Amino acid sequence: MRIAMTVNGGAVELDVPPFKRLLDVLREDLDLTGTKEGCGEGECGACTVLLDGEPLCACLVPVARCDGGEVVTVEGIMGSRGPDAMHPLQASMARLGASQCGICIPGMVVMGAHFVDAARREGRVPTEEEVRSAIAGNICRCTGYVKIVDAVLDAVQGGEV
Amino acid sequence: MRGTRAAARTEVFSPHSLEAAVQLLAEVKEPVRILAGGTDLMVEVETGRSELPGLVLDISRIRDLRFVDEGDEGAIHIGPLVTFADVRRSALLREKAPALWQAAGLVGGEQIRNAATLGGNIMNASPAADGIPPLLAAETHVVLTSSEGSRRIPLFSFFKGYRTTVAKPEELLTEIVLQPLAEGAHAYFRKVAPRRAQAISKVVFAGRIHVARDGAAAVLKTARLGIGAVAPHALRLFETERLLGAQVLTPRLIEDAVRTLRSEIAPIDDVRSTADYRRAVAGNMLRAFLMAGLTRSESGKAGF
Ligand SMILES: Cc1cc2nc3c(=O)[nH]c(=O)nc-3n(C[C@H](O)[C@H](O)[C@H](O)COP(=O)(O)OP(=O)(O)OC[C@H]3O[C@@H](n4cnc5c(N)ncnc54)[C@H](O)[C@@H]3O)c2cc1C
Ligand code: FES
Ligand code: FES
Repeated sequence: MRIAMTVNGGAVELDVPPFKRLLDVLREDLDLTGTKEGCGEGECGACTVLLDGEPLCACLVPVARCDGGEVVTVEGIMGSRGPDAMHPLQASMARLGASQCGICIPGMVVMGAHFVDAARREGRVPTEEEVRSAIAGNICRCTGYVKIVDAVLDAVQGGEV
Repeated sequence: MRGTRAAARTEVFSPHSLEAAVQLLAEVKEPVRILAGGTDLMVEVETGRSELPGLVLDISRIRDLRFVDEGDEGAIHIGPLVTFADVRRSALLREKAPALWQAAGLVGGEQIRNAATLGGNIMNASPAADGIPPLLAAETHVVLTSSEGSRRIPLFSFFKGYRTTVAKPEELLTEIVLQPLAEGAHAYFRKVAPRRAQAISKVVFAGRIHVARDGAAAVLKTARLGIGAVAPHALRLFETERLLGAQVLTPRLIEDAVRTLRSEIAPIDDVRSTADYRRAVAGNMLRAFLMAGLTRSESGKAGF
């Protein structure tokens, strides 16, 4: 099946089996290996991407559903503020040491950046509880979440001062 | 990886209209799997619990199946493609179906709530589905549509057994119709699971009661109770409701109701919990709900 979609701002057309998971299309057909597979069952959030602006698990999306849609992966979050510029959340995470083994991080960045952007748009500082509930679908086995939550709050408040 | 290899031979049909969808279901000879948000179906296929379908009917592009409306007769009409994230965004549901609204906030994480539909939650017919008990307590009917027409079925008689319903393979769930919470009535929702997010319920319970004051007494005018994960499918607790109906609400009545509930359900031991634990917790949930009703009515306040 021919699928036409926008991936990280660029138009993409490819011929792929329509029930193939978006996760596999990104990694195998588009060479975007930032998106990780943890569980393959929607539980861990490592495969989180934005489809038409909403965070979803790419392991649960057959690519047919993306035809005509707009996909943003962790690679697209990276460039979203200018070429090679980190998203404020990425900068805060790097500075505060919010990453260990890294397998959860791409999903965490996509989910967290989506949350940070929304909070900044609304001009509101979320509570720690709100941050924790926003990333409840992203499992991290290393960090214990504390530094990740700190980084999200830091990024909402404008990052390094 | 299993998904990748197997996906090669699956066809996906994504119509934009309900007519085209039911037409396809009427005409094809081979089995078809219906796909809404995919959060149950994709997991079934990935884990091998379900065979990979040859043909998938993706209904997610049928815009007309995603709505929340208040009907002229006061009932609330919900399209099956309404996601749990949509439920959380609906001011109408927050006010008139508060138990459903609360349940929606406890489904999965945000990624799951953005995809998971209320229609999929019903049709998947898991005994532990969190959306179903609030709908049972709201006296919900569902509408099934095929190329031959539509039929309306009360949700309490919709489930036949473990993950089976009365829907025929050529029917789509096209509407969910529930009653709004009455003025002065109280609603309750409680889910017990190993953690707060992303967890399957061990017991999930929802209720509505209407308590009126008669002098010093609190009279329970109506009770509507729904429960999940304590029988092969979600249940409306008719026996317990009957015991409670039009009675003066006292601690003694509450204990009778807890006993009735515990004999009305049929929990099992499984990987998530034990029958004894589920029976105990289900009774405790009902007691907590009714005790709160008693206290509120004594202090003369309406609303939880
Ligand atoms: C990580 C994770 C966490 C979860 N957490 C919860 C939770 O906390 N609580 C909970 O209740 N559930 C939970 N679920 C289960 C699931 O998300 C829900 O049951 C969801 O509502 C299913 O909806 P869907 O649109 O994704 O269904 P789909 O997978 O698209 O469909 C489910 C079934 O219903 C059928 N179907 C769907 N729509 C229709 C229709 N309109 N007409 C006829 N048939 C139809 C499909 O053929 C399929 O058999 C979770 C799932 C995952 C993966
Ligand atoms: S790989 Fe998709 S949620 Fe774990
Ligand atoms: S950093 Fe290792 S899982 Fe999160």
